[in-house]
Amino acid sequence: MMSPKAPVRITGLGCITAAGRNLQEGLTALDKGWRSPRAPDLFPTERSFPIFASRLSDDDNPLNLPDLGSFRALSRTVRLAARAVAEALADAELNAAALARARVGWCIGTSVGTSLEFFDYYRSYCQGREDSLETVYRYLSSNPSLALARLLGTRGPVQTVTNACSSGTDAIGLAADWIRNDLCDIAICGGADALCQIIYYGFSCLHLQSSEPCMPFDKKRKGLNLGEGAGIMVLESARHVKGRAVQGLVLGYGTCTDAYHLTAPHPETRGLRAALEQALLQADVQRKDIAFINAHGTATPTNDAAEGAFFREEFPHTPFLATKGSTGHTLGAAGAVEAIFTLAHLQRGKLPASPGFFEQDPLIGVSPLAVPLAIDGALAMSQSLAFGGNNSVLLLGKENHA
Amino acid sequence: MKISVNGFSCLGSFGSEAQDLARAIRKGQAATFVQQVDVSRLGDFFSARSLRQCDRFSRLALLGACLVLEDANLSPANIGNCGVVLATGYGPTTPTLDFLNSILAHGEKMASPLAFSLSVHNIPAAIVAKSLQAQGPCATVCQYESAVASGLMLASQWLHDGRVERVLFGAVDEYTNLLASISGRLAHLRANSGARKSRRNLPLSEGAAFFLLSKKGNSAVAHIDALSLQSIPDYGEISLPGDGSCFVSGSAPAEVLKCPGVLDGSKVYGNIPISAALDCAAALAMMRELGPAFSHCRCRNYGYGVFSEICLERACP
Repeated sequence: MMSPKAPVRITGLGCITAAGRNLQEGLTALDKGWRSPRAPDLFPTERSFPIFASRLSDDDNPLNLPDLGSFRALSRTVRLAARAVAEALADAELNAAALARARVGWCIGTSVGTSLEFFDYYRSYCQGREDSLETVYRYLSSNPSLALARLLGTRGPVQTVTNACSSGTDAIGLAADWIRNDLCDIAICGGADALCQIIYYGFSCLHLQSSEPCMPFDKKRKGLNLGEGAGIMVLESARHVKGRAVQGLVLGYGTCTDAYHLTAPHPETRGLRAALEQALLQADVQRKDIAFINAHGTATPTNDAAEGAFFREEFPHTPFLATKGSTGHTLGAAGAVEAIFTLAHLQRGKLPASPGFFEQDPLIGVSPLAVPLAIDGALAMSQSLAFGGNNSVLLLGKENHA
Repeated sequence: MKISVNGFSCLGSFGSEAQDLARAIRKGQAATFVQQVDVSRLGDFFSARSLRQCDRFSRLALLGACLVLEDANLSPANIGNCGVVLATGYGPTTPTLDFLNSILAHGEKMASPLAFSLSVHNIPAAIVAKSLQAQGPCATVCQYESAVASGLMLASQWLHDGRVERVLFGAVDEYTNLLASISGRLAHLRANSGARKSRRNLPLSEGAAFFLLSKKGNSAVAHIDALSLQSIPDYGEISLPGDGSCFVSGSAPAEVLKCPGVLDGSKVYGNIPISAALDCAAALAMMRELGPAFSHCRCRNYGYGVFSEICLERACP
C-alpha cells in the first residue's frame, strides 16, 4: 500500500518547443495564443499534415562543448534535450563544478529518441549496398540519458524511459523517487523527442493526424499535429539545495496501465483513475486541493472523449487546459514540457486559454479554458495518456505548498 | 533496497529451461548456437488466434512472462497487484523493419498501421500486461546494455514505494538480419583496428529472461541484496571483482576477466545487449542446482559509459 512521501524540490526548469526556444518564450506564446504550425518540410512526404518544429540551429552549442562537431553528430532529440538541460541548469544555478561534486542522475523519457533513424541506410541495405556507418554511430551515441551523462561527465544513475507519450511524465515521477530514496543528490529529468519521418508516416497511416492546426477538445477536432521539443526539470535533495531558490515541488506521481487496448484509452479511463489515486496518496492531498489540471488533450476523437469523461466525473468543478494547440504533440517530451508549463502557471497565478479550442463538443460535455483565468491555488496536476494504455499523473506544488 | 526473486525464466540459444542454461554455462558453450529462439511453447498458453497480431519481440516477452509465472506456481488469476517492467537494448526491431518494408513496397500512404503500432517501444510490455491482466503500472526502459540494471532499479522502486505487490521484470532483445549485418560490420572494424577481443564481436543472438519480484519474503529462489547503476567516465575507477563468483558482461577490462571467480556466459548467449539479465538467470539456475555450494553471485555489466552490479543471494529453503 502506498503511503505519503516527502515533497521533492524542483530547482530548475527548461524547455524548447515550437512555441519558444525557452520557457519564457513558450509561456508568452501561450499567453498570446500564438500558434506556428508549418508544412512538413523537414523530411520528404506526400502528405501535408502540419508540424510544429522547434527552432534549433545546427550551430547550437548550449552546453558550450569544446567539440561542436561531435555534438552535431548526435541525434536531434539529444540536441533538443541539451538545449533544455542548459536552461534548467542555469535556472538551478548549477555549473560544471557543482555537477562534478554531486551524484547526478539522468532520467529522460523519449519515444523516437531510442529508435534508429535509418530509413536511407535500410533502403540501401535492402538493395545490397553498404552505406556509411555514420547512421549507426549516431544511434549508438544518442540514447538520451546515456548521451547527456557522457557529455557532462556526471556520475550517478541513468535511465531512458520509453513509455511512448507518457515518457516525460514518468521520467519526472521516477526521478523524484530517486531523490526520496537517496540514489542521487541531483536528478536531471524530463523528456525529449524530435520530429522524425518514420513517426510522421506512422501517425499518418493510423489516421490520427489533422490536416489543419489541431483543436484539443473542440467539437470540430480532427486529430493531432506532431511536434518536437524537450522539457527538463532539475530535482535536488533538501541537503543539496542549501538555501538556493526552489521553483516548486513534485508532490505525487501515479502510473497505471489500462491493460485494455494497445492504441486506444480505456473508455472508462480505468488506468487513469488508478494513477490519480496513487498520486493523491503519495502527495497526501485530496481532489479539492487541485487548482487546475493540464490535460493530455491530443485533439484525437478518442483521447479527448476519454479524458473529457474523466474530468466530467472526477473533477466537475476544476478548470483544465490543453496546450498542444501551441506546441503540437511532442510525444515523449510532452509530459515533461506540460509539467513545466503547469508549474509555471502555478507560480504566476494565471492560466492561458487553450489554443485551438473554440466550441464545446456536446459528446464530451466539458470544455478546457477558453479564456485566461487567474488562480490562487498551490497545487496542480498534469496528466499523460499513452499508446500501450499507459496513464501517468504528476501533482506539482508551489514552493510554499503547505 | 533488497527484493526477492520468486521465480525466473530464460530463453536463448540454450533452450527455455533453467537447467539447460546452467548446463551450457558449465560446458562454456551452447550445444547448438541458434540465432532465433524457439517460441512455439507460447501455444501452450494462448490460442493461435489471440497471437495473430503479436510480433516476434512481443512473443519472446510473452513467453518469458508465462514461463516465470509457471516457475512461481502462479497464474494470471492470482498475481494480484502486479506491475510490468521491460528492459531492452534495442527495442522491437522486427515491427520497425516491417513498417519500413511496407513503405518501401507500397509507399508512405499505404504503409502498415499494425506494424507501426507494434514498433512503439512500450507495446511489448503492454501486450504482456494485457495478456496476463497485470493491471498495475507498466514501463519500458531502452538503453543498450545498462537497460537491465536500470529496469531492475525501477522495479525495486515500485515495490518499496508500495505501488505494487509484485513486478514481472523482463529483459528482451531480438535477432534481425539487419542488426546482425551492422553488428558484423562493427566487429570487422574493431578487429581491423587491433582492438582487443570483445563479446561484442561474437555473433548477434536473441533471448529473454524474466523474474517475478516481490518485497523480501517467503518462497523466494533468491534475494537481490544490492543493486548499483551509475554512469562513469572511466572503468578504472571500479574495483576488481575479487574472489567470489561474478558474471561479467559488456566490455570488461582485461584484468577483470582474469579474476578467479569470473564467469562469462558470452559463448552461451552470443552478443546480446540484455546479457546481464541472462547472467542473473544463469546465477539463479546454478543456485537452484548446486544449493549451498553456490549461494552468492554478482552480475556485473560494463556498458557504454555505465557500470552496474546486481548482487544475488540464494534464499534459505
